[in-house]
Amino acid sequence: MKKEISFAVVLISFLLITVDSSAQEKSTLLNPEQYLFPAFNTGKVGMKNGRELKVNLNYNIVTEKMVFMQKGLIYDMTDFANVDTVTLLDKKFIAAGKGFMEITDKGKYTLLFQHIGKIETPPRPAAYGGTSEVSNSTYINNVKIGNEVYRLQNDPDLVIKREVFYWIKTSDRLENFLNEKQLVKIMPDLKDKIRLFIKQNKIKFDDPQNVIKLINYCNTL
Amino acid sequence: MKTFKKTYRINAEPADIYSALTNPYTIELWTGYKAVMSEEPGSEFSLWEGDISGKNLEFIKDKKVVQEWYFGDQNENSIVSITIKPDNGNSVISVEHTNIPDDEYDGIAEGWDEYYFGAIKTFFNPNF
Repeated sequence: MKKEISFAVVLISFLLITVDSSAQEKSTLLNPEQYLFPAFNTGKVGMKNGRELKVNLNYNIVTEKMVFMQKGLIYDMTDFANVDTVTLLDKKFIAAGKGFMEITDKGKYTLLFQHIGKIETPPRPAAYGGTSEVSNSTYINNVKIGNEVYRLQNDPDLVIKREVFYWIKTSDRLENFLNEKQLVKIMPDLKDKIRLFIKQNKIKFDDPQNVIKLINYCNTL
Repeated sequence: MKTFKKTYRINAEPADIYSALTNPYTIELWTGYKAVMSEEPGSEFSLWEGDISGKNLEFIKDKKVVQEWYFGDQNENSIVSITIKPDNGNSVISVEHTNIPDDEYDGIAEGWDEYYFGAIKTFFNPNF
């Protein structure tokens, strides 16, 4: 059953969550590899009306949901319209569509990270939604329904591959890029300077910190 | 049976619109739900956790997506053709959706406007 609840419904309940209970919940977190952070931590949810709430948070990279823990249960945060910024440890997140993306420093070009977790399983008969027996082992995979992934506890075949997709927010729109060619297409006027900076600083597009450095440079031009 | 036809204009590159229609991780951002999608003709797709499902028929990268949408046991296939054309840095998207059951037409039309391309437009043109 999908555990989804309107964020607004539980606003008052958020205030009741204590640091002690979150510490207890950290030790029971199952399948931490599906989350961006290894444990739930107290984060700040800044609302558009100016209120700020402290909530026990994490980000599920498989379901691409900001999630919060309350009394041992994990809920998706679904009230995107009223949330301004979510701050969790060293990262800030902003609502993008009906999900959240990590946002770096705002500028003429604002860089955002879409954190995803690709579920990869070895090819087997009835791999999805069923059970199959191969070489005296039983494999159970029920990965196709959103939060069902929570129930893939201790599945030895479950592999989550972490990836980061890059997005740029320009003055009026969001654009996706993965490499130099796609970035230059977004900023054609800066083509030569971008290429020179990449060469001189040995920027690697598979390293988000390198990409932050590059976009920070673009914002100085 | 009815046919839905409409053109949408979105401030986004055709490649980004195409990705929003075919990349399951991007679909999940603008729908808010888990999606099953690939660019392989013949593969099954599922959006909004199965509220919309069907079979992928044809892809032309950054230009066209053709799908069959499932509507229960009806005899005639319901085909969705989405074409994307560039227009001054924007995208003009034409949708043709054939053989929609009469009693589902209004909901489907509203869905295309609000939940599908309305949501994609909001996603690509955020207010922050």
